Amino acid sequence: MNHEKILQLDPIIHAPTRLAILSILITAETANFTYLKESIGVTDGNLSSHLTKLETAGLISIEKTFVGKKPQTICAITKAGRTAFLKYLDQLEQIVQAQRQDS
Amino acid sequence: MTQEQIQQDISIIKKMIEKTRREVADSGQAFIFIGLASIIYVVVIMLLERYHYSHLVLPAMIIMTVLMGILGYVLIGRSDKNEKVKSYPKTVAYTVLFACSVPILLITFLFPLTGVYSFSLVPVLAALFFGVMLFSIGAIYEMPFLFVSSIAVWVGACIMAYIKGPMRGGIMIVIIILGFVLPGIILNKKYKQRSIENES
Repeated sequence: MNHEKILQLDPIIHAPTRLAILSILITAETANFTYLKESIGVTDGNLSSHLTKLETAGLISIEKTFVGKKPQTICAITKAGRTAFLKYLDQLEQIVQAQRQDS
Repeated sequence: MTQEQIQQDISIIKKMIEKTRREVADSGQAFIFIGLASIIYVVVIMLLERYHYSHLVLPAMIIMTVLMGILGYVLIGRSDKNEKVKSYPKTVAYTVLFACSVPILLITFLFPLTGVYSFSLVPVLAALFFGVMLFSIGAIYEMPFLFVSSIAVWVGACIMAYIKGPMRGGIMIVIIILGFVLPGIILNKKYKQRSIENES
């Protein structure tokens, strides 16, 4: 049963960095690139690649703006992203419960 | 998926949510701005009345309201742009701020000018709405001290209703300090403390 549940886990969300990004964006309305980088503790390139994956999957939206002359990348979770994240939490909960029953 | 991996996932989620929840708290700058601007507002009106320039009170009120509106819009807009994280509570708090500002404007200008009641009632009615504003924002940010501030503002409104003359202006200043300046300073201190905790 556990194995089936594990297979159902969304691989896009499952990576620690992407899970951290979605956890931040589920709490905040928007967060900028710098905040995500500082909070998660990853490099610019690493964060960019994870953000692109999440954006391609339709889980987040990315908006590029300027504050004065400084470029700014603002990220927000989409409706699909929120649903997927909550589903992921449900699945985690089910796995924990199943493991408790097994032991 | 091992127990360890699940624990890791849950720990990431908990850590990030808690970190962001702290980050999204208000810096208190809007409170301090509203407080100081309102004190200047009241003092100017008191001085105009004290030195018998009553005919200038209404134009001064209009000019100061417009200036406060423009300055507030610029300051809030600037802080929004520089903000790393934008939160739902903050958006809701600003919506409450706007929702209370509209009736305060009506109370201050439209109703007295159209003869519904005299200008002397304006501080009493405005203070009631200031109380609503503080109470709601206290609930949104989970800051019980704002409930105390709102109660202080409502008590002040009741006292002002039965007091006339310059004393009323004095009470209004006390209300503004208790309702906006002090909470603003407390919020700002907490905000700075959280920023240091988040950075470490």
